[in-house]
Amino acid sequence: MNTLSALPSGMLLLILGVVSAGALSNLWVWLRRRSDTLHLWTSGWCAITGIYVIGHYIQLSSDEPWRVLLASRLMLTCALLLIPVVVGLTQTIAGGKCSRRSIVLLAGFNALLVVLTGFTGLIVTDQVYHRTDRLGDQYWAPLPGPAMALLTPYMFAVFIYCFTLVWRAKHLDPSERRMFLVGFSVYIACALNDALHAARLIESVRVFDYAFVAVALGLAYLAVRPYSRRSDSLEIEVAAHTRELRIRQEQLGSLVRAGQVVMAGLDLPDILSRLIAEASRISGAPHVAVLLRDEGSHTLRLAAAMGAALPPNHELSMGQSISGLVAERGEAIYVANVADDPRNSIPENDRAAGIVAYLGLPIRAAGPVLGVLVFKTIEPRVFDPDELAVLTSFAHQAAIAIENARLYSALEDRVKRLDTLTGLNRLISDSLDVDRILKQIARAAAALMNAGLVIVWSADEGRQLIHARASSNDEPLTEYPQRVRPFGEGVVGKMALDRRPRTVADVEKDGQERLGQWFQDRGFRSGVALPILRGNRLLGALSLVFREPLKPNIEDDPLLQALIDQAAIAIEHGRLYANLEERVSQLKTVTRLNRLISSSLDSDRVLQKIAEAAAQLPGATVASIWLVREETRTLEVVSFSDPVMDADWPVRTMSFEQGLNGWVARHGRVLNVPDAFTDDRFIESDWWRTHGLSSYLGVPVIVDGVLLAVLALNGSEPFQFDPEDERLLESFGSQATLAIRNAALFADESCARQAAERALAEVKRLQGMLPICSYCKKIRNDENSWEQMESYISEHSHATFSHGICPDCRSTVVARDLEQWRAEELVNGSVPDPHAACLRTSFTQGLAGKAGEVRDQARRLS
Amino acid sequence: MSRPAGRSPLETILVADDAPDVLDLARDILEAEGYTVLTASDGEEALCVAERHPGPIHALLADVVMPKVNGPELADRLRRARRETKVIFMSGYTTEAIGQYGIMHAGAPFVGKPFTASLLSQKVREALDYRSPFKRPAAPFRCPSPALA
Repeated sequence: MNTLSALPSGMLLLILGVVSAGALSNLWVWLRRRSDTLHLWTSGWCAITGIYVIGHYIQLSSDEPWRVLLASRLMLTCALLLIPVVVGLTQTIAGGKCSRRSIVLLAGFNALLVVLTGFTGLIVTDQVYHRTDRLGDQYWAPLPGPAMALLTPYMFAVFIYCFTLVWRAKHLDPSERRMFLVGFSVYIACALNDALHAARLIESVRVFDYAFVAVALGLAYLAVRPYSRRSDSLEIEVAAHTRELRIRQEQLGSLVRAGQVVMAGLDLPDILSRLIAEASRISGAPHVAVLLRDEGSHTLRLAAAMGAALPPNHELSMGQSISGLVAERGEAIYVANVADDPRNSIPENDRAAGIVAYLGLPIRAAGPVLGVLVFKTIEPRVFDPDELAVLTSFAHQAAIAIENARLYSALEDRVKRLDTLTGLNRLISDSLDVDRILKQIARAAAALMNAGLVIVWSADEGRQLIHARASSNDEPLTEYPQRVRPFGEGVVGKMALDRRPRTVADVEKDGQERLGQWFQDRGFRSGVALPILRGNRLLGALSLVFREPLKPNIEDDPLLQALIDQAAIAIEHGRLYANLEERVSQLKTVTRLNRLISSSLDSDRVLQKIAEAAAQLPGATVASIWLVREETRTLEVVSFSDPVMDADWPVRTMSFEQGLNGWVARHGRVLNVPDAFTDDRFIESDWWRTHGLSSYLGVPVIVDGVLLAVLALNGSEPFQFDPEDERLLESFGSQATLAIRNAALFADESCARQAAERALAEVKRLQGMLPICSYCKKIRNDENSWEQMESYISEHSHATFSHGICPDCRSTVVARDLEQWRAEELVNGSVPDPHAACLRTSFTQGLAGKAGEVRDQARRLS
Repeated sequence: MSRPAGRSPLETILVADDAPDVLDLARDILEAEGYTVLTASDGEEALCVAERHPGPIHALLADVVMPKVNGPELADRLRRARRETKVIFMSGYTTEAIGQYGIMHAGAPFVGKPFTASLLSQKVREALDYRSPFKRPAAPFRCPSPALA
């Protein structure tokens, strides 16, 4: 065999080495950059080419027919595999990417051909023959099948397709494209030569081994070369990106640090000062300022500044100047030379500070624009997009920090408000001292709403008056001249009239509603008066005055509403308590009078007390009670609550036909005269005038249809009694009745008692058991000595005894005594003169006769 | 008890008592003794009787306890006009019991009720016969009544 000479082994090894290097290097590149399929195709191409070369080497160097056949089949398989690989590679070069569908179809078809090659004799038969080519080289070759020749047009078509693709790829470098086309042409020619040769259609030389490899390598090189070029530029690019990234990373780091610094706090002023410091650091701009928008308003106010970015206390409305535009539009505005910009409202400031470039960034998180972050530089400066992005992001963080701070502050505020409200609630439920509670409410309102002065007013709807009850600060209120004012006067008065909140937005701007001069003199600029309502009743008002312009919609502040509610409760409590106290005091008065009536029988004193109590009724200056003398149809004043007025009053007795009291007595009805001077019934106008009285209320005191007295009240204002007062007045009337009746009863009773006492004084009473001597009828007295019965009875009674003689004793004891006495006279022998004797006889006879009569009577009786 | 002879029996005695039985009894006893008896049923009447009586009234026998003008008062007022009249009080009360009427100081004789005829006549006689050592004897009494004279 001389086949080895045809393909020296050194040459083979060199080819294999080159092919392997190409396959491996491209595979390596592809593994790292999977998206570059060109390297995969190139790698596959090189690898299949290498296997083809090995197969060819085996075929050439073998004497064994089966090896030859095997190697031939391997070569054919490789050739068929190369077809879709070449198509894929070409598509990749031409279009950047390959059509997967065409590759799959092609691969499938070629796989069919591979099967035909391997297992049928259609393409390659099982027989070999010894062939001598045109150069004289001899080797064993398989006998081609009948379909072998058909492969040639197929291959030709595929290569033409690939050629066309490259031809159309205009984006390729023209010289490169040319080389591709030339290389393809050579490759196709070699391939067709070998195919035709193998199919024994022509007698040629097998050039393919060399040319194939060379062309393949050339094409591979061509394919890969732009990529390596591209990779170079990519590297540069990557390096640039890396640098950029590093810068951005630094910027981001800076931003993060700045963000951290800014975010690390909840106190707004602190946050703002750090914010501008960090903004200046990351931007390199020496003048930085933050303008914040007043919440809910259209004003931008300088919140913090570094350098001479903005003058102190700078204020802008939305849309005014460049920063105003930034806030209004919510967009960043860059001005290269701000001092000359016509929109700039402070060019002289910028010029003086030597400011050149301006950058305004809106501070905004999710919602509306919170403010503007202003950067000003003293040298010309252009902010590139990255820088702008970083600064915008910083502004965003600043917005979040500011919002956080505001939220925190709002939260703190809320906690404080809640604390205050809780404290007030506790106070209201603990205390009945209304003035103290209202003072606390005023103080709380002043502290929570930042008001310079808060006044709590209490309204008197009946008299249409509103008066200052408590203030957040004692001193100004005591000086305040208009502590009581009628409805409709001043801001508070007008508010009381229409019961709607009234505001004075700003003294300097608002022309319609004026704040009182007193407030203006004290530097207050704005105010709000809010009604304290309970249902339909106006209890009072809460007025707040501020040294700065009014915040919009302050009257709807829920906290203020809560304070008003509390004030309403406090005032109502106070009124209820006062009513209660008044009622208690009225009850006490009534009770005291009742006690007086029941304990005292001095009706004048009781009526005096009743008059004094009646004079305590609201509006009453003096009260008097007039007793009715029905027989003369006159009224007589019995008590006056005021001794001075009493002393002045000229008419002590007035007839029923006279004056207002007379009218009441005549008609027996209540008479209420709001202004007595307009009433023709009234008398003694001088007295009224002297004591400043004008109103009259007369109440008849009537019992069982009989008029007893008239209770008259005089006052300086018309009487307006509520039901309580009317009841009280009624009870005064009843008490007066009681007192008068008691007095009458007492007078009667006193007469009766005196008579009884006199009667009693004349009767001394004998009672109990009297020890009496059964013989002499003496009685044992208290001194244990025996006393004559008559004496005893005379001592213990008013009876005196007239000692006489009863007929029984006369006829017995006396008669016996007389007989005895006559006998003694006779015995004594004295001779009475005849006249005397005669007398005596007749006397004795008369006695005897009488005694006989007595005896007869006794007998009859017994 | 014996009556001195030769004496004019026609002395006048005014008896005042508000009890008619006692008045009758006293009059009977004294008239039986021969006295001229004037009677009155109380002090006032006694004063009237005395005023109308023209002659002397030698003695007053008066009950202490009488309505209107009582015994001692009667005696006082009678003796202002008739200083010669002797006074004898009588009473059912004991002298202690009627001490308030002041008769004890008057030193007048007292007849307690009930009295016996002899006691009364004796007391009257004693009173009439009593001569004060400081007074002249009373002038002899002539009966004004022509019948008795």
